[in-house]
Amino acid sequence: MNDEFLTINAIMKRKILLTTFVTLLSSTILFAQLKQVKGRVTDDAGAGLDFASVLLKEKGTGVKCDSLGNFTLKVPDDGKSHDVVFSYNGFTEKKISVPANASTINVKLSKKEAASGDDIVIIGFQAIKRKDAIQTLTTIGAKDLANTPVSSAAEAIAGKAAGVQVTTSEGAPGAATTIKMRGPGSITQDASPLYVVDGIEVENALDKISPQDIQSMDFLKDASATSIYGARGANGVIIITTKSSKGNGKTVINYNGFVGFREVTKTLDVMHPLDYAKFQYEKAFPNSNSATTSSYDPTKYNLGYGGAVDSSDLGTIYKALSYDPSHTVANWNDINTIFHEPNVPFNDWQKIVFGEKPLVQSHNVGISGGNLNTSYNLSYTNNSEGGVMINSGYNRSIVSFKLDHKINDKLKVNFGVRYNDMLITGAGTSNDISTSFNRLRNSIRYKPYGPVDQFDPAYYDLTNTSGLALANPVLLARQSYKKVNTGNLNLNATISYTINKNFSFKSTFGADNTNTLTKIFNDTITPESKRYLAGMPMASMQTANRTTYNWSNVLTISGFKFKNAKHDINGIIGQEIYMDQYNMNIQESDYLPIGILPDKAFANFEQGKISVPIPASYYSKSLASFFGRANYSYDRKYFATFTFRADGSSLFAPADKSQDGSTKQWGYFPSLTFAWKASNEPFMVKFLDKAKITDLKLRATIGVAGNNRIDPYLFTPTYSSGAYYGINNALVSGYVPTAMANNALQWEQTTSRNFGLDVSLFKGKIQLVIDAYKNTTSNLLVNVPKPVSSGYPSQMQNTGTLENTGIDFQLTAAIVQHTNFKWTTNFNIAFNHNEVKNLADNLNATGFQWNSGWGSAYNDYIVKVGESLGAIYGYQLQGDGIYHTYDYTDKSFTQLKTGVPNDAGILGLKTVPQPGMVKLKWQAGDYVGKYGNDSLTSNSRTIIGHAQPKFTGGWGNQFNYKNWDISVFVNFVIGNDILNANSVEFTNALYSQANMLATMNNRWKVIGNDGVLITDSATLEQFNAGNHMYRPATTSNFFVNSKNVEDGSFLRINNLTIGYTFNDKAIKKLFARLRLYATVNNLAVITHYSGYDPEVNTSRKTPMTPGVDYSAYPKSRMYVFGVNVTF
Amino acid sequence: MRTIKYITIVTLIFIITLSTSSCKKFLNPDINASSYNDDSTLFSTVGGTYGALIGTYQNLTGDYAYGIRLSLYYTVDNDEMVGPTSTPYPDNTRRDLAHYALSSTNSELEQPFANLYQGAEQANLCIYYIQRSKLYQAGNTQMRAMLAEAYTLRAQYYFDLVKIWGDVPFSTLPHIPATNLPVYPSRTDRDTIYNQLLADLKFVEDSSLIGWRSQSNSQRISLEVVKGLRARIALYRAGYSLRSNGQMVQGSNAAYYYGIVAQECSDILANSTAGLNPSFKAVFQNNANRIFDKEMLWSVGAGESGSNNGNTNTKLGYYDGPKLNGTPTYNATAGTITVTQYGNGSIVVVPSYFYRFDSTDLRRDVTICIYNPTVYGTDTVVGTPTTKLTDGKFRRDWISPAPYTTAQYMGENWPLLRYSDILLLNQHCCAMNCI
Repeated sequence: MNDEFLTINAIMKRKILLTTFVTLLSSTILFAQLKQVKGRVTDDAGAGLDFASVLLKEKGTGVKCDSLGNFTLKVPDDGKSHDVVFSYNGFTEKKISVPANASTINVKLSKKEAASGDDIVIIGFQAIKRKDAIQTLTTIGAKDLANTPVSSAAEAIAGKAAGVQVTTSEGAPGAATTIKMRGPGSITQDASPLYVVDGIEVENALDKISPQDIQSMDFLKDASATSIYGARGANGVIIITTKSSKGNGKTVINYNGFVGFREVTKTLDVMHPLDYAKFQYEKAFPNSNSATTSSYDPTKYNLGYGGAVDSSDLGTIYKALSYDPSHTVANWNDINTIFHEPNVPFNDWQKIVFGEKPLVQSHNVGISGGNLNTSYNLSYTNNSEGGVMINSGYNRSIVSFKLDHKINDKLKVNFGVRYNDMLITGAGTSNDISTSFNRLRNSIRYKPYGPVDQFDPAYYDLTNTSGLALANPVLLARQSYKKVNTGNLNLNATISYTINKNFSFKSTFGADNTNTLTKIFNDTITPESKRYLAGMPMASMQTANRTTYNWSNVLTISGFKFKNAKHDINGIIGQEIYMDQYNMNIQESDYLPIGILPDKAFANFEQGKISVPIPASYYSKSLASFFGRANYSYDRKYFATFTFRADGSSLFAPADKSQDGSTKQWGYFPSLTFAWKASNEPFMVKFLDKAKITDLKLRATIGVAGNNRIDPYLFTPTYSSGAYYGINNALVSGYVPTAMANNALQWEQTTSRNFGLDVSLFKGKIQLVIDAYKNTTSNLLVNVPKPVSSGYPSQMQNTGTLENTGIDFQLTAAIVQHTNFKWTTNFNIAFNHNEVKNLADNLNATGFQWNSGWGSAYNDYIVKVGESLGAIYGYQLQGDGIYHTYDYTDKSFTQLKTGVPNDAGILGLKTVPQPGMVKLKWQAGDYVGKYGNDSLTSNSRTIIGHAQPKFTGGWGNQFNYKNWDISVFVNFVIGNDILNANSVEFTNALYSQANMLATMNNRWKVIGNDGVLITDSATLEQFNAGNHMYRPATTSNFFVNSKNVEDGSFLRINNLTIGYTFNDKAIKKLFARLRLYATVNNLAVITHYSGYDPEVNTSRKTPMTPGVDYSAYPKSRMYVFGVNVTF
Repeated sequence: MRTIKYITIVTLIFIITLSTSSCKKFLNPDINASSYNDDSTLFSTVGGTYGALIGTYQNLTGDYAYGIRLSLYYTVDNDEMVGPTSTPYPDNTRRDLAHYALSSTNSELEQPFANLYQGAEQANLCIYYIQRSKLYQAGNTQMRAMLAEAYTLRAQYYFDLVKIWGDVPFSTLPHIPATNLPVYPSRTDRDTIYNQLLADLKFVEDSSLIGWRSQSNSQRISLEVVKGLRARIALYRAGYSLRSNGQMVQGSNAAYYYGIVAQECSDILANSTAGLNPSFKAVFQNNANRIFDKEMLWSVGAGESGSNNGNTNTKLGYYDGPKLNGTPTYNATAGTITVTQYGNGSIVVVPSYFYRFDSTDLRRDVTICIYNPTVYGTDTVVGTPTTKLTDGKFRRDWISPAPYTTAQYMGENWPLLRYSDILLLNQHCCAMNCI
């Protein structure tokens, strides 16, 4: 395996020799003349290293030091000097020649530098020394993770590795994260990387492992490393190694804990009571020429909002505003006098609903110990935190146990078990199913005043006219109960057997079982209950079980001796199977008795009407693979690696079901890598020395990896549950066709080319890794839209090509390494260019549009050749985006001048758009429609934003001054656009009596300060001179214009930590290590983005719609105080 | 030796591994062991076939079909009733659809269109696989009846498509790998489609696949429906329609198709156990309470399914019909009385239609509702002005027990074919002198 094990093996071997054979064959020993050498092994500071190994090189005999570092070694008394090797875990091994006459020898070992070339990396079924790695990889070690007190591993790695973009979807506790390595590699399919934990493939591993349990994470980015994972390696591979015991006979107890609180960083500005009331008045202002009146005259102007029929509508507004008897409104003056604060106090609902300052706690206890034969590591982690939103929270406990046992010299077993119990409470704000159920809008749109927790039925009904139905947000949050309880059990076992010095065999088995129980209870005022269930409570329980099995067998071949010692060859061959079984059931109980409590409802499910079973789902996916790798090096200067993997997947058609009678199941994934270690080249040495270059390596790779993340059985026509029809008053269940089958489906393939450069300067003080790459994904698995006349919306096909081109930089520098003051910095930046190169033949000219699902009436994203994935599709603004009085030929605003675009069709108007309304740009290519010249249809949409960032990165700095340490970590994403869908819905005035964002205070107004409609052009323009926002649209067809697309670039001060480590002797007696620290996570975000947080991704069903901000849970800042203790 | 023992263990592991992984079965898990059903296996049993048929029926109901769009949005405005007049208008959705102000971006167009095609595809799948199933070939009566239902459903889906959109792409085969249909089919002339549908239904009749109604529900198809639908389609085939060239043209060979109408109708009148309910009102009151009425030959089944209502239920009686007046609340300070109204009352009767009825015609006050009911439990109603008369066949105050005030899905079935339709179809033919 690695160096440590080799050393231990060697020592073990000698020990057995000593204890058994030595005693048995003592007569033989008597012939050898031996003398004793005594001494002590210490660290640089002179502290004894307990149980350090001392090995006599030539004989292979050795001893262990005692607990203070003292040893006694027997060496041949033959008048010659002998080489003795001293080693200690975590320290650089030292070889000392002990002179013939020496009887005492004291040795100082130095600690290994972190991230130096000596540590071990795992590159897929094989552990190698980092300095020998010729793959592109980035490693995050335990130290990097330990410095960031966070609950989830995903949070901890954000911005730390070049080319790895971590996006947290929203701020909710336990929110999903999207991880992309080197850009999105797939159009409609999941592009998340493959996780391998201790040799086992684990889905969503970052959610299941405590960050404190992680020893290291290796990010494999290019084909040289990912091809060996073939099937599922195309999106990159993250290899996670969990902590093991050092097995040095010492029991180590660790405690890491922190406690603190969170608070929301930002709320959206909404209209205050007076502005709100004024707008309601403006919207309802009687319009003498409304389109809905019988006397409607299309030639006359229609300046108002067109909603009011007569003055009685204004009366409705007065009534609505007067709901609280303390402020009766009867006219415009009343609005102006009454709605002043503090007369009508402003309720910022967001501050109430998201106003909790919940306690955040994390405790991690670890015990590790054991000896050379058997060692263990046991750890327990608990994270608990409340959500900033009412009625939400997060609690997770993880127990993990690892056992390593050596049966004999050749046979070793490892066993690991991990149990993770996670409970996420709270319905949150976003909803994947329907925009009607989103719960952010209540906090934004509910009238900005009134009792904090009273249901207002009249207001509910008033706002229900267009289906909005606003309920008190505080009450709604209390009535929305959701608990997601996830239990995850992971078992893994490894047997390694060293057959001889050339062959070793390793079999790794893993099983991962996740059970998720989702309990939802919606009480009387929730939209679910009001809309579908006559205002009676409903409860639903969903159980999902996912079990994956993974079994790999690997034969490692190495250690061959060649006549020319410069050759070195080694490799592996292996085989692996992977199975994924999924089982899901949902039950729903409707019309529960009013007043029932959530827990009672789940315990008395039958009290309601058990709803028709919602389709259950059960399927199994399997994968069988064979793989191999050959490494060759010459003189440690020239390296070559060839890998090959063949994968068979049950997701594709076997021969008898495929299109052409040949099996589509198998995919073949080769890769080839060359590297040149220039620093080992004698002719380079002089030059390198001059340039202070310690290490210089050039790498080049080409290879193929695959992706098969699609639903099962798409290759053959199938039926699945989900159909119901009422016969004789009873619902009967039936089947529906699952999808439009495609028997030609096969693997998606990513060909990646990588050219890399590793430079180490000033004896490793500065390390720079640069990689340039071009990844081409072909045969893309795309859910291609089909003409609906086929009966299906889309079909999964292999079509098109996607390309990611980019360059990654990773720089690590130990800038100052003074005894008292140390400064290390770590900087990474990655540029990626994503481009759709080709789609299906019939889509190449037009591309295809997709709706991200937040409620836009038009598809708001487009996938098009020549564009990046995530092209936002909408209308551009013409000029300042507002119709002005000079755009009309007449003073009644009934006719637009020639050349002025007419967007009446988009705004849903019967007349031409009126002054102050949004002016959209007419695009060439849009046909001249029924509205006359320059009139817009939905064809006037164009690409108005790109959600893929230009570059991403992070910069970490760590300072140590004596016992103090300070670390600052910033990460940044630059050049991406965000579709701020919140800003579309929350500035729309379709719904009466609903509040809007404060940006609408700056709107064009048509009601003057006297409460009367301004009809004179000059006065209108003058009155609105400072108003740069268009009037809110009143159409129910939400559309995106370029004002809703914002630059999402940000720089986040992600983490600031100040720590103090105690070094006093008194404390040293009690603790091996004691450190106290204080941290602020998410300290500040520098951005122009107007929404809650620019790191957002609420539409995650496909990678086609990144960067949507709709109804996301606001992000929060966390302040914690923590402690690290080692006993 | 111990080493030998370990070698044996390792070898054993190898053998187990290889025997598992080399097995072809590993990569070809049995589809039918999952929640997915292989088509031919599904259609090899009566139960499976019934499930697929239920799925085919489902496309008639729910929000995108006769749950609201095809029944309420798409049927107005006409000379009897108009769609929603309330704000916001124009809205580029249902109001524009009703008031002849359609634009290509209207959001109510694509889904119903897609939904009808989904139904047609599922009917095609049923027809394709039933014909190939051993049970059917062996003459199983249930399979034969279900084939008849599938043919009839396909006829209904295409009939609706042609009725609303004119000439449309037409296929009698399902889109499965075995059929390899063109991806972008062109439009088929409506007469060709009608002819095929008429021939299909003739085949069903001639092969005696299905019998006269024996069940006491009107949600499944019987021979009456096959014949009634065939008569209706024949009448459309014979009648005038706006063709792709912009001309109103009568279908060719009209007399022949009138003959079909007459033949099918007289067949039903002579042989069916169905008949008229002497009370016109009772038909719809029964429908409101989901009581089987012998006059109802085919109605789209609305099923209550909680949060899945949008796919299975109907909004009849919520979107249309009278509004429910809540309890008036008096606001002492403002001096106002507020009455909350539930339901949309979106279909409004043209006053002249009301006056077209003879004052003694009992059907008038069933077809047209002249009041809004008040809170359930009281018998009081509030009259509506003539401009706010609503359609009255699906009124919420007939439902017993009274639904919750804010309920949107009332579970009322949408009548597709009644015995009275057969009489009218027959009468129409008489008027055309074809008998």
